[in-house]
Order: sequence, then C-alpha cells, then structure tokens
Amino acid sequence: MNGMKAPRRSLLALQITAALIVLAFLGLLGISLFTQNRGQRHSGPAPDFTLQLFNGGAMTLSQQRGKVVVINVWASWCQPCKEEARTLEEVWQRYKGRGDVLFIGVNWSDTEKQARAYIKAYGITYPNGPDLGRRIGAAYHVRGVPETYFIDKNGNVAEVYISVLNANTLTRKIDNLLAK
Amino acid sequence: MLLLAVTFTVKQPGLAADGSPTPTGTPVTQQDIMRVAATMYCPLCVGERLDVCEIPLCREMKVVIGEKLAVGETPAQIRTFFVKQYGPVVLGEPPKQGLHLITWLLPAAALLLIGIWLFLRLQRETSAPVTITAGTPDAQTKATGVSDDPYLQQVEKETEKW
Repeated sequence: MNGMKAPRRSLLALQITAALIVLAFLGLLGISLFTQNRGQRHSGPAPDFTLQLFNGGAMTLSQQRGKVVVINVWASWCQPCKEEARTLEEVWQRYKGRGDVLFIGVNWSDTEKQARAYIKAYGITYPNGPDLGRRIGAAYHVRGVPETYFIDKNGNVAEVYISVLNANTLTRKIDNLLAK
Repeated sequence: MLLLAVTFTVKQPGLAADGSPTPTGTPVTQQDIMRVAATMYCPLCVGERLDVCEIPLCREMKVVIGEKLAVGETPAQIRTFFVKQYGPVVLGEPPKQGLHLITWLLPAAALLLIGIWLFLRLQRETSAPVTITAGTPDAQTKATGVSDDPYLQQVEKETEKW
C-alpha cells in the first residue's frame, strides 16, 4: 500500500503544477487582451523618451519641463496626417518664437525615406524623429495615426486628440495649457 | 550546391529590383525580396506576412528589403534592422528573452507535465496488484464458477437458454 502512496503524491503535485501552468496561461492571455484594448494615455505623468531626430541630434521630453509640448504622432502613409500637416506647421510658426511651446513630431511605423520626403513636402520645421522599435507608441498606448498628445508645463499628459486637428482647436488647447 | 550555383549564375548581374544597377553589383530579384519578406510580418496588421501584405507600409518595407539586399546585407541583418525600427512584432513571435521567455517555456512545461502525468498514471495502473481474498464473491465465483449475486445468477440462467 505504501508503494501506491508515492505515485499518488506525485500525481497530486503534478495536478497542482498543471493548474499553475493553466493559471499562468490565463494570466498571459489577460495581460495581452488588456494591453491590446487599453485606450491612449490621456492623463498622468508623460512617459519620458529620447527621440533621435531626422536632422541629427536628439531630444528628451523630460528636458522640456516648463514648456507646453505638443507631440504629434504621424506616418507618411496616413491620409489624415497629411490633412493636418500644414496646420501643425502653421501653428508652430505662430508659437515657436515664445520659447514656452514645443512641437515634436513622432514618426510611427514608417520608413525613413518616406518620412523624410513627407517632412520636405509639407515644409515641417519642428523637431521630428522616428519612433524606433515603436517604444514611444507603446508608452503612450498609440493605437493609430494621427494622435496628438498635449503635455502641460509640469510634464503631465493633459489631453490626447485622436483626429485631424484644425488651427482653432490646436491654438485653443495650447492657450488653455499656457494659461494654467 | 549545384542548384545554388545555377541559381546565382542565371540572374542578370548588377540589376536591382527596379532594374537599376546596384552598388555591389549584387543581383536582386523580386523573388529574393519575397523570400526575405516571407520571414517577417506586417507591423500594423494582425498576423499578416509581409510578402502577402499590400498596405502602403508593407510595400515600402519590401522596397527597403530590395535596397538592403542590393548593398549586400544578409536576411538576418535586414530582420535585425526591421526589429529595431518596428519592434519584435515583425518577427511574428515573442523574443526569446526577459519576460517573453514565459510564452516559450509554458507550452514546453505543459507538454512535459502531460508526459509525466501519463507515465505516472500508466505506472500506477500496471503495477497495482489484483488480490482476491478467500470468501469474497469474486473468490467464490472463481472457485465454483457460480456467483452468489442473484442478478448474475439470473443472467447466467438466461444465457444458458441460448
């Protein structure tokens, strides 16, 4: 009878381990579903990043504290991005002299050649760089393009705008953040 | 080896995917591009292989593959470049490092456990001794060939008719 107890104990240990593995599977599935379905980051501290710029150099978000930062996530293959490209540049020209507003273009899921051609075609002058490894996109939970994140002077995400921006909306949002 | 040699010699030397000369003189055909593209996935679609994907980004990625093959980069180098650009999603599988290792190890662990479970189960069933104690109905049946179970006796009676 003692000989029977050892395999029985082993079976019990095995069943517990199998249950743990099933739980781990379910956990992974849950994390995956949560990650896929979570919305864009619309509040809280803005995740820091360093962007390697297309025209050389790099820009770190955390070093821009005290400024209102407009992060526009775009791609050259995105039609709505093209619709707002000139508006973004036009509004940037209005604010760039002040020193307390900064526009940053984050090129997401694109090829460098096409991105450079796009920047040239739309005469974009604010800092732009590729989201290498799509790490910025992951940190901000970017789900598509265009998406524009408004960062307040304290480095918090104040708002995310998921559509084509017009000049009035963009100006109003920046002015609201400057007034705070 | 002979087949490989033939494949390399039949190509037109110095022509890129678009027919233009390449810096290294390495011939690149559409097939070469597709062969590399078939080992990667679209970073924007769900599970769509790059060679069959026709969205603008995929088309551009295939152009980049052609350019990189033309300057002599290997498929592995090209894959590394795209992983750097778009993340491991282009490989269509989680990277074999960090927390992602769990996704690789769990199925293997599950299979191993099923194997051990089957082994233990079989071992228990084959090694369990069958003992027949004197005086029990089984022992009586074995000794006399007649069971004292009224139901079994009835069954035997009925079957004898046949």
